[in-house]
Amino acid sequence: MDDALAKLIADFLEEARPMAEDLADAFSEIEQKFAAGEATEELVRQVKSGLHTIKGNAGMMGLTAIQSLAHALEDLCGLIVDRPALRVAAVTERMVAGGELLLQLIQRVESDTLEPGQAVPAVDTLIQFVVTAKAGQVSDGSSPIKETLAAPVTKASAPETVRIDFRRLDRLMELVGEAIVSTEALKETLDAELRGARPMESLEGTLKRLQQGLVESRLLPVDTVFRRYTRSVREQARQSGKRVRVETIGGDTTIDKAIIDRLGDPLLHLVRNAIAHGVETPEERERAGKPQEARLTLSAEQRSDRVLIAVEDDGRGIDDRRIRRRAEERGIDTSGMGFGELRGLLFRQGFSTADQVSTLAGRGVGLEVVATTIEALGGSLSIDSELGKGTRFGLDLPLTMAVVRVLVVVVDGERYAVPLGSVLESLRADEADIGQAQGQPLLRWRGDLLPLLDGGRLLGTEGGGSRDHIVVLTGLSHRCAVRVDRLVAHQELVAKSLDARIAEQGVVSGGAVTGTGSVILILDPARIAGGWGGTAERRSPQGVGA
Amino acid sequence: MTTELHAVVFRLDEEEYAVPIQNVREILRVPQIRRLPQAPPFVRGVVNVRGQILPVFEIRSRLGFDPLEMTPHTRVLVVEKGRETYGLLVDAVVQVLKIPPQAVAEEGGPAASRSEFVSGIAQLEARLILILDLDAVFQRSAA
Repeated sequence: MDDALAKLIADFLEEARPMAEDLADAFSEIEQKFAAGEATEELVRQVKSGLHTIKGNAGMMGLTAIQSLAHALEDLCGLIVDRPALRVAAVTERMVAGGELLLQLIQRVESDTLEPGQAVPAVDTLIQFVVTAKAGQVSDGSSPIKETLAAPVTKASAPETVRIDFRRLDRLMELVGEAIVSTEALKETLDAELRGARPMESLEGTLKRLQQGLVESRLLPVDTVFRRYTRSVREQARQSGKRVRVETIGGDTTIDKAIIDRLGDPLLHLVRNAIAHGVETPEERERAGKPQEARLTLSAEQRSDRVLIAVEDDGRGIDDRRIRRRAEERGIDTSGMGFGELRGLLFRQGFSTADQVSTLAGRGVGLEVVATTIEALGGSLSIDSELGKGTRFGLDLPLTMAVVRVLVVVVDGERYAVPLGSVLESLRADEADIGQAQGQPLLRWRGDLLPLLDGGRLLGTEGGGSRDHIVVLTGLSHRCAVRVDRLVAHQELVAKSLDARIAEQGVVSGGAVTGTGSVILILDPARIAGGWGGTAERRSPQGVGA
Repeated sequence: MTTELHAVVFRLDEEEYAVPIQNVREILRVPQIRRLPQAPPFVRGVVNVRGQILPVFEIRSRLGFDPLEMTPHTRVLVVEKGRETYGLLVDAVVQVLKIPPQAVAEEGGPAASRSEFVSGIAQLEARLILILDLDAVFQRSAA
């Protein structure tokens, strides 16, 4: 969905939600008044006008299910005014259920599980009922129609929910992350006895549980992305003269909304790729002794803190000989390569094995984008394939994303990321504010004197960069300033911890993979401000931990 | 050793070393290596292997060789041992080999100076292959 449409839909929802709530209340009131034999004309007139507005707006957004539902409810209102014979429980019950359904559909649009153009069976059931009612064939009492309509409604309205802007959850998540980092830093300043004290342990435990709770509140079922493809697959298959059945497994597996949001494009690429290149034509399949209709499976499962998503087809598979041939045409030496390395070539830029590059999915370009997107999410992409049997693309994703907002700086040609939460200010170096005491450079900053470290000495390069900029950092109890060459950008990174053996020391707290696939190191301001940089200059690297 | 050892054999200068194939996840051409500040000399840096950030260790300096100079034959062995995954920078990968148990002597021999990192030596005709003890080379306390 493009941004402009998403914005329009957000506006629509903002207006439609309170209207739908009022309508649902009004329907209940109408039902009660009917039962009590009271007049309802004025109420019904109000309801019809509300329904009309929703119908028109939903139509503009292409939300046909809501449009049809509003239309059907309008008809129903017209019927009970014009035809006193229809003022029976069977009809009013459906009005109430229809009002609930309207609310529910609006909720589904809000949670991205109902898209423009998507049909909803319960709406069709209600429309059928209206048609029957118009023909005067309504019997009182419960009917199968009512059950199919009412069952999901009662189920969905049962849990008590609060709607929260996702950005607010994000912010809370960030704050908890910062609290955990500060606690770690606090621990470093304490002696061993205090560090292991019960209140400290309890604080840490509580923060972890708080983080866990927030993580869980951000989880959404994978189905929300899977469902988008069932329709487009059929469409694409028809256009290319192929027959494909889509199956989804484990759609109720949940994953961080931030990941779900970025999973759409990579999955679409893989699905298109499978249809364009993996799946054969019905004739080819028949010759190969396979059923004419190909199977495309989207599956998801959770394994500890990872979610494995797979896009699998039972098509022709990947021909390694063709990859080899293609690689050699491009001057790549494949003689020493195993299957894994060879197939890894498919993720390289501009590498395509399709004899004819399809406009739908130019394998090569697409896969490269898929691989980098998945990596930027903190995941990895793998291919399994057997010639003639099919291909399976596996996405190994983290259950949640730890996103840090950072300032990217350059020191002697190397890029580093500094967590923004620890940056007090970044400024141009002005020699007038820089002095020295006992050989230690100092920066005059907001009335204080801060130790001024040289980025190159801190990070072990002496490449003579310009050092035109200064970043003022705060650890927990200490502040300091670091001279760097250049400030590049504010950025969001998916932080990953480093191998424990190299993370236990030094001024680097973690790393992240950037959009271009290179590694950027994340600096640890607490350690820099706490003097780790200084001590590291004195200690010999060989001596670390020996 | 009673069963044959299925091993990846690599070269450091003129010496040949072997690691069990079940500990080698993959063999890579040298990717872009990000230098890690303040790291011990045998830590060459970190690399991105399909989204995983792995440390790359220079086994040469660990075993007392001169630092490695990259050539077109230089490879990174991605080693999985227990719960740890890391890259080993080697001069070249020679072959995958099955070493019969009777060819392996437990210790001693010409590379005795590196014996703390070597669990055995295999003699195959004129070749001597040192069997690397991965636990000893990169155990945590060493880093």
